[in-house]
Amino acid sequence: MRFGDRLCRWALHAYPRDFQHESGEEVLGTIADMQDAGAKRGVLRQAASLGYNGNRLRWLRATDGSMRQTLRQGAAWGALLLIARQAGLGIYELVRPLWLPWARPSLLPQYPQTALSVVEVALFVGWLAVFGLLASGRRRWGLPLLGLVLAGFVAREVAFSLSYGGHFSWAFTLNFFLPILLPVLCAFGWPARRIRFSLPVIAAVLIGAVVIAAARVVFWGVGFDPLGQGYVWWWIQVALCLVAVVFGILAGLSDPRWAIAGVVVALQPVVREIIAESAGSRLSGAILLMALVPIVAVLLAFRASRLAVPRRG
Amino acid sequence: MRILTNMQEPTFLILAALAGGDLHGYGIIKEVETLSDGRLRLSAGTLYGALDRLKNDGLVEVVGEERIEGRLRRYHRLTDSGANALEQEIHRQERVIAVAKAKLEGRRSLPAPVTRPAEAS
Repeated sequence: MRFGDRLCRWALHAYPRDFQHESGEEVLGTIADMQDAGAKRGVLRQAASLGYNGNRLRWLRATDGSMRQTLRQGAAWGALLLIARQAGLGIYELVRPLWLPWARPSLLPQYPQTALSVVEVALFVGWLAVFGLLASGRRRWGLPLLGLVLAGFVAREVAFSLSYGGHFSWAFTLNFFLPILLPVLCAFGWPARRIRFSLPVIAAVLIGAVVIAAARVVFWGVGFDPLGQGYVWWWIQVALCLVAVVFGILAGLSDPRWAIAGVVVALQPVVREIIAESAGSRLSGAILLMALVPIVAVLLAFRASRLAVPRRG
Repeated sequence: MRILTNMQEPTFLILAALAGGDLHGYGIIKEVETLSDGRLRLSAGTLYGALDRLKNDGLVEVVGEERIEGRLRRYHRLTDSGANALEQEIHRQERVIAVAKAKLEGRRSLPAPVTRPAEAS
């Protein structure tokens, strides 16, 4: 099988599964006919067209085309991506204390414990489980578990800030915006229609999350200057970002839900940085975060009650 | 059947291509290229996206298939609803063309625009 044939066969996965079964072979046959006739369009362009139109068909079939439904689904996807990102960062939190003394032996006295933290393991497993449940359409278990994991996450942040005297600067608590954003998205943005990512999408999202964690460990977690490693690393980062942006734009053009999800994911660090820049005062973040726990509980309970189907008879 | 409004050009040309008889995928692509004087060459993704919508709307149906050199070819046919939709679109375009022609004729009969001399500073 030629490379072009493989590429087009792979691009067909963008289509809904029933379309792949019914028409996949026919589509590939038509592309082969076009290639034999000396088509000017390259096989790369055909594959890109399959990816674009397949993604678009998924969107058209999943919604009634209304902006409201598209917004809700896109927001829910954004929440799923944020949860996956937290799972990836969970790996970072787990690996960092083990990796740091090894990479920088001079820091060893500051990191006497090289054992895994139970809290970090629980949070990592929790984020992963929430993502698995919600991405496979099991929201009845996924949403309550998300509430639990968020409560654990906030408790850890509170403990962290208390260990620094009960006050913190906004910039210190890296993800303080997450406990607000996720419940809002899940409580009010979660569509009634079941959301289910396909297995390739789940795999791609998890790989992306692990890559983020690995990048953090390598470039920020070990305390070395990335420029000291030469500009090759810098170019690799730029190239990876460009590829991600191109794929993101293509996906967003064909299916607006990906564009909305991308905005949600980008929103979190942007708002975090804006507040971190503007808030020089030392507010008691611990109190603020503790206030978030009941808000989370109320939002999830409200959403759960709306999801409940009344029994007949 | 859903009545198509604001039919896009590829959809219109696909229906027009099928009005001449049953065609398989590559046959439709070639016919569309001929109808558009070589201006529009559909990609497979665009073609099958449009065909999927047209089949769901009942405007096109699959009437047979064959396998040539291991390649699956399905033949598509314009349904009666599809022929009606195509006819409606042709009438709509004819009306637009008639209005545009009338406006163009009216423009030709207008007196030539008077150019003002430049004001002295």
